[in-house]
Amino acid sequence: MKKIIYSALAVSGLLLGSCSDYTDGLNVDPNNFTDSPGNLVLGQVGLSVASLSESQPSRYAAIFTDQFSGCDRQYEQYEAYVVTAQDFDDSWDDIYADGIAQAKFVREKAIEEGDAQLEGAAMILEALLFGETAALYGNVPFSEAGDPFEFPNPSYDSQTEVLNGVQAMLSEGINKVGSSQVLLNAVGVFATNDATWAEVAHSLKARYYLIAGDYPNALAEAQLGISSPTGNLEAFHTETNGQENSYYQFIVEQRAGYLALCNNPLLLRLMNGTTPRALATPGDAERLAVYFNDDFTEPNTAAGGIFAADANFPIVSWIETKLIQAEAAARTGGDALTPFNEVRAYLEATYGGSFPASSSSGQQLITEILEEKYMSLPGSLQVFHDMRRTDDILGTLKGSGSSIPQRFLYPQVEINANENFPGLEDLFTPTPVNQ
Amino acid sequence: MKTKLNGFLALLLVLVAQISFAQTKTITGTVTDQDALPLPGASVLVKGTSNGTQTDFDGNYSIQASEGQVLVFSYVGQETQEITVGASSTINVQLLQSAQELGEVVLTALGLEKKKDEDLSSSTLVDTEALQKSGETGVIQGLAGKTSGIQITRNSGDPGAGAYIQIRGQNTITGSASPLIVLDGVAISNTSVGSGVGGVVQQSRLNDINPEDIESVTVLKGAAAAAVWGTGAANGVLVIKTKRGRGAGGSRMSVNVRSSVAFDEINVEWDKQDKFGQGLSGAWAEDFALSWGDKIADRPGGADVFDTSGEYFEADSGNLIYPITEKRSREVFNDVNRDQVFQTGVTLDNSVSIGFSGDNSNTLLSLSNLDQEGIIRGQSSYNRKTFRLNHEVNLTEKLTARINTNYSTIKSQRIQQGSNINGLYLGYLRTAPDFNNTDYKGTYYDANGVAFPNAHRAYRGSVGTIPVYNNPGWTINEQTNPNRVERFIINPEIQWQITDNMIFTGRYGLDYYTDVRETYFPANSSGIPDGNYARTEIAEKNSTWNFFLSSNYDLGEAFNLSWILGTQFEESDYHSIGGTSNNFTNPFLGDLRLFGNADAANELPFLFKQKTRKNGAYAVINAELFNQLFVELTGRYERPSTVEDNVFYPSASLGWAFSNIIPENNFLSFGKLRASYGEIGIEPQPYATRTTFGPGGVGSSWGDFLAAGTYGNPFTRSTTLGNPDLTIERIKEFEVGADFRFFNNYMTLGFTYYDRVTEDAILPLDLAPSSGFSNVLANAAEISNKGIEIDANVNIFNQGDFKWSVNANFSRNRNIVESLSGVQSVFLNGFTGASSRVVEGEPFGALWGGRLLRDAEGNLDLDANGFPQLDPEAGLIGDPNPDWRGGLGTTISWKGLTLSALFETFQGNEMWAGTKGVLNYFGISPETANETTAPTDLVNASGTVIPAGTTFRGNIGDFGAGPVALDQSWYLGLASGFASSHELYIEDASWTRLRELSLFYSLPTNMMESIGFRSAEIGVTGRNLVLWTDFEGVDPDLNLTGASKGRGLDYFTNPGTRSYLFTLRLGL
Repeated sequence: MKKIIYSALAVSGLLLGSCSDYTDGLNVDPNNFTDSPGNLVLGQVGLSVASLSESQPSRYAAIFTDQFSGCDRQYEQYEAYVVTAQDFDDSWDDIYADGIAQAKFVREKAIEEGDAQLEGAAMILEALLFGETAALYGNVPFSEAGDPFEFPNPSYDSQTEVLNGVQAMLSEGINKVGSSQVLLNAVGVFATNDATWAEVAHSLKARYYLIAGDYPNALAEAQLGISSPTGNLEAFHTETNGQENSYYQFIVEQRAGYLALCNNPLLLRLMNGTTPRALATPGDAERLAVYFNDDFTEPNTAAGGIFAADANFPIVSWIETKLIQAEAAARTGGDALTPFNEVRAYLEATYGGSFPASSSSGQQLITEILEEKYMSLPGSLQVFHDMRRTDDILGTLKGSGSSIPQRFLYPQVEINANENFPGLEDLFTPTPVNQ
Repeated sequence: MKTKLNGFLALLLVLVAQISFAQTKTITGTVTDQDALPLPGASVLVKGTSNGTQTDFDGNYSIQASEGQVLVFSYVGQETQEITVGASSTINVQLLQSAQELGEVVLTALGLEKKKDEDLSSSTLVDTEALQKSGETGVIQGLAGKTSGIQITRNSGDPGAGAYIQIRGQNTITGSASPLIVLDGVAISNTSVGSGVGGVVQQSRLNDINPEDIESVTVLKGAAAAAVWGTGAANGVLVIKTKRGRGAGGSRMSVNVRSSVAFDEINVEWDKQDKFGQGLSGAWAEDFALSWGDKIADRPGGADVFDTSGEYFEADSGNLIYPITEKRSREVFNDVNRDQVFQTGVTLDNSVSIGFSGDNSNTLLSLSNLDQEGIIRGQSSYNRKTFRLNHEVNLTEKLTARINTNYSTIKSQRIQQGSNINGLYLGYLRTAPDFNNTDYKGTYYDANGVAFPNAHRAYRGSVGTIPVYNNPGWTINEQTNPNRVERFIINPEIQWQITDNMIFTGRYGLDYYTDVRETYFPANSSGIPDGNYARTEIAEKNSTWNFFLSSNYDLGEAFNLSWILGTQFEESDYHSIGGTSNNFTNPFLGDLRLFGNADAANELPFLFKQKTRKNGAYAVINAELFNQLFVELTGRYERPSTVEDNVFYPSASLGWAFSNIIPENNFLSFGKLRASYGEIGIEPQPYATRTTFGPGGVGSSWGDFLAAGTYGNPFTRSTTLGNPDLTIERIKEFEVGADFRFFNNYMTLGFTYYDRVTEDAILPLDLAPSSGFSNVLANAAEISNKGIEIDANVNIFNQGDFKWSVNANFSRNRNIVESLSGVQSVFLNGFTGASSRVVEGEPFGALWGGRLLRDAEGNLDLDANGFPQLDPEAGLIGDPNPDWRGGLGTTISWKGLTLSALFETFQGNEMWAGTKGVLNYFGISPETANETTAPTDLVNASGTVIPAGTTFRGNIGDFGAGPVALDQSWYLGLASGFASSHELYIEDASWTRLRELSLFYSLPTNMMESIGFRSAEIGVTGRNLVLWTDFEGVDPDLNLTGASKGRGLDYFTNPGTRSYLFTLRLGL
């Protein structure tokens, strides 16, 4: 009897002991990869950049700067500058989890693979994401971001530190990318044109110096930036489902009537002349047809319009670079008229009509430059940065408030999940660079 | 003198010597049961020793005993007998059936039988006869209302629709919610794949089994009872045993035939108004979505005026349909449209089983065919054929082998339902009363005479090629959703009697099924102008090895010990492969269903694989002391493949049958107190330990998105962080209870209180996105279930030919989500608006949605017009869990007649009446068609004043600021089912129903003998005959989201049914 018990126990013991063989190694996912080469992920970073530039953040910026009106349901609230932390959840998530975290992964992989060019391209895109985030939100996680094991609760670095970090990242990126073209990385997300990483990076440096108010450096970098309109960094769009222009998707397919012209926004008024421009431009009449639909109820989403399904969306453009150069020069006593009038000539060539050159100077010239930038970059976050930096020089304030929004609110997801959350800032409190 | 004494002493010595050295001899004999049939496996013990044996297949035994010793003959379910060994060496015994109900025997987790009086758990046995009399087509539905602690909710009344089973409460957020199903000692699959707010109603795999094959079902509700199964048993266990072959009536062979026909009809339906036509604000408008048009009775009458100059629709019926320029007709088509879609469903269910009891074996062969044409016309049906062969053979005196096999084949056609413009109820209910749905398909000719074949028309698109919502006729006839299941279950088992009281059992179980599903939308289905086809092939294989030793000792009269020691290997292999094809190149498919009929970019394959294994060793020790104290200890050591270490699950139970020490009396015949503690678990989902990479893409919550597939398929690292520390969810339960029998066993009462907590429940935890990840799956939640269960049975009358018994059960469960570690809520199922969620501190599955604005005291904060306003923040709006549930059944039999009834009730649960809200918006619900005259000036929701004396379409309401007009502006505004005012439509869904009512008649035996049958029984059963509920429009005992954990939402759920069943049983 006892023999049987002991042998039974022994057998069970043996079986159990050898049984980790039975269950080991099965918990490896056969449906998903657990690793990826770096260059494959760069495209995702690109999509995050594109989304930041033309999706919800861009729509907020366009409404806050009165380029368009918010006309239905939640968008009516935004029109009145009423937003909550929850409204910024998915944008923040897209930037950090879908963009910055992926860029850091690409950089790691690129270092492993010894691909300096790829590393540089990832750094440039990552810098763009950080730069815009700092410009929009103020103090944001930077040095501790993207490392959930060491920094599960990233602390928030000051806006200045982040912008400095962005400049350093861009410089290093420039060193690594050499003269490579954007299309080299087969990113697919960006339009295939003459854009080079180095020029894009210089334009970005100019942009972030401008935001920080460092006009001499902005001028220097702008001159090294995108040198022709075929060198833009643009998000590529076609009529294929999932590849259409984001504004088109929003206005035509998803939320018709939310983003329109119901309150006669400033962009419309400047372009149709009901509000006189600082620099008279008859050619605006031609531009009007491209920007807005026939009965002037909403932006133009038909073929050929600014938000047609296949309209590429500029992320960093020659126009922006030249206008940065012009404004920086105007503020530092350099030659502002040359770059500014280059832009005017280009607009005339593009739209037809008359875009007379400017011969102004001083504050008038600066106003004209910023006004042109406002009108030539529809849906651009840069316009929002400009208005905050210049104390609303174009008078975009609408409604009954006394100030335009000065930032994006920190998102609810950070409030809930980040132990080092520094506290919610009021929408109308300027970010440090603008204080 | 001395000599006499010496002689006497010597004699005494010799006598004593003779007694002490009395020869043991071999006793043989046969043990039979009350029908004089041999009783195999009966236990024969020499009392007071550990000497025992069992009878063989012929009921024969052989044992060594000496004269004067007592042999104890016993068998589960029969009365024990004790016979003293006398001079004879042959002792034949007949053991009669136990006077108590057969419900005395329950199955343990390993599928072994145990006397209920000795059972220390809260397990209950379901009366199989009642299960089969209920006539339900599936095992799961047949369980409803029969025992405490179990909740069965059907997905819908569609043929073949599955159901969810909830034992006690919900224990997990991300894990499986199904209880473990053990069939003949082996776990089988009860997977239900694909339940959402739209699509088709899915089946449940447990319903593949023929209910006629089942001998007993035991529900193990507590953790202690199920602890030997470890992970997987967290939601309770249903232990099912299938029949073994046996002869009957003195013959070795028995044939049983059962044939039934059932008629199903809808039990609760939505009413549609028939007073106002299609249109808005009192004016008729063709193709308009809503029915807020003109008053039909005010129309001139006669035929409509058509525009025959341009486009028209030529229906397949030959009718020519033109655009209407003036709507004059007063015809309403609610009945015509209903008859287009619904019918009385007919179900034919035939089964035959042959049992044979041979010298060394017994065999059961059983076949069945269930054919169900449901309540919906068109492509809606369910056919199930099953074949079972159970064979048990005595290979040698000590070796028994058994093999049970089951093959089920299912063919079914399903109808699209729910929140789905291609669904049945959505298009059907929203159709305006003055629109005739009969002609739904034909050829459309445009203004230039160009023909567009295969055109589809409905009330939102009466002359055109494709309407906004499907015509119900198109949904049921043109769209097809076939499904084919082939299932094989094989359970061989070997039992080896190693010694007299040690048995080795080895089992293997194989459960393999393939499930092929297709959905086909022809071109011009709403929203799918160019057609869509998808096919999924699922295959799941579960295989189990289970070996255990069991032994039983009688150590003296007062101590009995038995133990089981075993080991188990389980493997589950699941894969699903298929593809979708969108935008057909050639739209005229006919019966063809294939890939290759679309652009490469529109054909997407998918593949999903999953394989897990589990290895465990377990031990069970049972001790019985002094005939009244029972102790059970179990332990299971397990290693699941989804977790990095071994896991241990203990349980301990204690029981005291105190009635064994009190003197016999007429009041308390049996009483037992029991307490137990047990731990079981749920394994984490596989493959969650590593962060994955896959195609990316970025989109905003507003719907615009940039897809990876169009941009060269860039990969992204998942924003869900892999968690290598993921471990099992552990459930700890403490249970106390009592079982009583009163009045000489005429009344039984069982009572249980349980307190269960799930620790380390897994949920997705939010991470700060600036860390680079959005969430991580972590063991971070805690869920509790506390409740009581009461089961009672009273034999009110049991005299001669007349018997009357009543049974009742009561359950109450509090299922609270104790902690979510800071996460506010987790979505289970539902919509962006109204959903069923897990919310910290609230009942599981709480309903969440938009709320009305309230002030600090909780009163409605009304606007200037006296109407409620919307609270900008969504929150909790209801609780779908019942406060208590109960069942009350009664059986009356007299001679051959048996009448039984079962009432069931659910009280205190709430449901979101989404359909009602939307039908209010569409102006379809009768409530919106009332014509009310304003007694004073009334304001409507837009602020317009309706002067006194005006008759308007709508009602008068009062939200606290005085009477207001509830007219079109109210029903299209805040009261619209699409508005974010979901709180408005939370309603009490408590119900009470007559679940079953049946009358059966067994023909008397003398009549039978003359015909040549052994037995015959005819009966009539009604299911779901009467429903008492305040919830309107649909049976609240259905669930839109099927067998998922989300509950309490009604949104165009397909209707439920009431049935009338006629059964004939014959025995040969």
